[in-house]
Amino acid sequence: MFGKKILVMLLSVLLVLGSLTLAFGKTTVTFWSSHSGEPDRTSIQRIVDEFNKQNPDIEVKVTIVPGSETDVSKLLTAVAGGVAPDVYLVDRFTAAQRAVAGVLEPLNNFATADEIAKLKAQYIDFAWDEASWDGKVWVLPFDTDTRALYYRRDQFREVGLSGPPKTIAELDTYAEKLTKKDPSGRFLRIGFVPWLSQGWHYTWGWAFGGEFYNPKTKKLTITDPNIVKSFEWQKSYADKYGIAAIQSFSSAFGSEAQDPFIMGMISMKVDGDWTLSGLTKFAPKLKWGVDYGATYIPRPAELAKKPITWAGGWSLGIPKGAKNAKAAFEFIKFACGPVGQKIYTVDTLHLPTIKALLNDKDVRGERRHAFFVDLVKYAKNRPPLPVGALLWDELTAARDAVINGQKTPLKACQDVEARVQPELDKYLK
Amino acid sequence: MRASTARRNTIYGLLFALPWIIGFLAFTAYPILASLYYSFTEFVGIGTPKWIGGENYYNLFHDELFWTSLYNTVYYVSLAVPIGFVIGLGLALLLNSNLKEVGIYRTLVYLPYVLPAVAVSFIWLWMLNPYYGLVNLFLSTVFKVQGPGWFSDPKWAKPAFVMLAQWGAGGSAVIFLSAIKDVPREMLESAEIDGAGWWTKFSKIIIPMISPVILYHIITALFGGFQIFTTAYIATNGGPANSTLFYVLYLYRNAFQYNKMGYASSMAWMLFILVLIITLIIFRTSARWVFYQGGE
Repeated sequence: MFGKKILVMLLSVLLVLGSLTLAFGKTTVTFWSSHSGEPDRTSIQRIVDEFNKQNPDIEVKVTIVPGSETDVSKLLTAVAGGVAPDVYLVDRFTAAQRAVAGVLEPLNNFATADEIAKLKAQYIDFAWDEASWDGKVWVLPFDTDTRALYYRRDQFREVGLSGPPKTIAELDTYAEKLTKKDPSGRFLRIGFVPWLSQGWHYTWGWAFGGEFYNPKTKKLTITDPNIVKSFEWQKSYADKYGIAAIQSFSSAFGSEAQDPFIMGMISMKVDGDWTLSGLTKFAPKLKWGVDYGATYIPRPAELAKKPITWAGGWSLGIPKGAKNAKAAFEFIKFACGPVGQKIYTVDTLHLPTIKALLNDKDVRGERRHAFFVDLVKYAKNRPPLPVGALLWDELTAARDAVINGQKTPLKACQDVEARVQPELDKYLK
Repeated sequence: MRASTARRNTIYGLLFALPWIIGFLAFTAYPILASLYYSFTEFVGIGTPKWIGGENYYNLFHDELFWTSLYNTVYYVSLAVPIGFVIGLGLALLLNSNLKEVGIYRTLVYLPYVLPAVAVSFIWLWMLNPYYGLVNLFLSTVFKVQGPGWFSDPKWAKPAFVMLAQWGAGGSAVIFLSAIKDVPREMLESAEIDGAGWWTKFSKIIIPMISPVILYHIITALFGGFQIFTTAYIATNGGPANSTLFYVLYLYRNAFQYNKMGYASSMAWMLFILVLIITLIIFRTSARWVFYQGGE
């Protein structure tokens, strides 16, 4: 009986002591990341380890949480429930949307105007634009990425083509030449399908010279004739090859080693710089410059001389209600600063948003990667609007409706404007 | 003395039920009522909701995607529920036979039902793959027809989900089976003596006797059907061309992707009202075809 009492007392003392050391020990910063794939996951951990080493009083802990570019339901419920993490990985083009939703803490709360100006100066302009809304900065830019046309040189040689297509017209004829069918009429290989991989509405809208938003009038301009034209052109592929046939063929596509480009099922595709690491890992036999290459995204003849691409990327922000916001800010400055970005871009072959790193030898890496680094200067970015996710989904639905013949390109574009503009106006008033 | 025992029992009963009651009030009743309030507000999920009256409901009726998602869901329910009923009952009748290995068959039929929806979705993505899938292979070798693109074809994506839903038919089959087992033997035997064939026995005795279970099945299947989400979220995420944008999927997007929690709440209440009306209609008509033993 007596022994039991002593045991209980001892245990309580230990508990109290334990919590005391916790309270006076390190500040713990919880960091939620949705990057569960490799090499991104390990690389982020390396940044965190480096930061923890340099800051003995702070301990950053990474937790992998489910989520995607536009789906942040876990964060929303955590913030609403008062158990928000201290740092969250945000797809940058949705930063404004998270800002108006009240999910993020403006970073201006943690830094002086001078410090903010200094931070701003180190980033590429478009990345900073995406991070800002309503005169405040909500996240710090992390990585970026660019898109280009990948093509299979070995297959080009097979059908007697010498160089990559430069114009849309060339792209169309090359695609036809490269397409192969079996005797029963099923596709063995399609030269090119505009909407696969990174052939998004934005990709082609910009390639055709369109603009999606006018910041002066604050109006969406989806009915821009050039955007409508880009949809018409995509529809021409649906008509030429048969939409059902293309969809059947592409639903058989796998990923990683079964990627259709690696398997030789498509000869050309628009895709991002990150694809390079996949090519190295899953198709070591395919050699850059011999079996495949990358070139500027083809454009209509009159625009073909001006390269174009678009860039996205992620960012780090501090959710509203974060318990250790000050320490969190120190961490995101480090992770999004030269050291953190260098670790990440070298590991993962993503691109940096720090201007100085664009000329860094290690970041530029091999020639094929340097090509994508140099594309950054031609990059467009998605309009940084609080309706970014909605606009994206609506544009995707419009593209689907057009290639499936449910709407004319003009009607589809009008519908996007009619659905998204009123939502945007709510935030602009 | 007696009254106080009864009182004590009531108190004990309530005490034992308390965890559930608290859970129900905090995690079911309160959120439901809160969503009714939110449905009249503009609310992003955090912060203070702004009262806007019936605007969300007004907007719903003018939202093309609301109608698309409603159409997709009603289309799905009106196929999946009757087909599920026929397959479930059919399986139950087969499992009711007097084979020696019937225990094994019962397990086999029930087994798919316990698989999580996420895993089932991935299995069916491959079963219905237009090029390499088993279903199209079967169609082309047995019937010599080229199967459709299923999940990638706007015309066939909804039927594909109807098919996928039948994967869980084993669950309802087991319930039907236990109801069939409950049908009094002497009834069937006396019918046999009177010269009734299997169809007469089935339609005149078994169906009326298990009609309460049929009612239960139809209503729960309706609830489940209107709430189709997981499989669609994983297999198609609403595509192609919004052909599988089911009601709850669109609701989820509004709530968690577009910051429109108020609008999503009003969608939830519209769905509730719709399902309530359908259920009431079924209950009303059920007096005519559901037979309760010991009732009138």
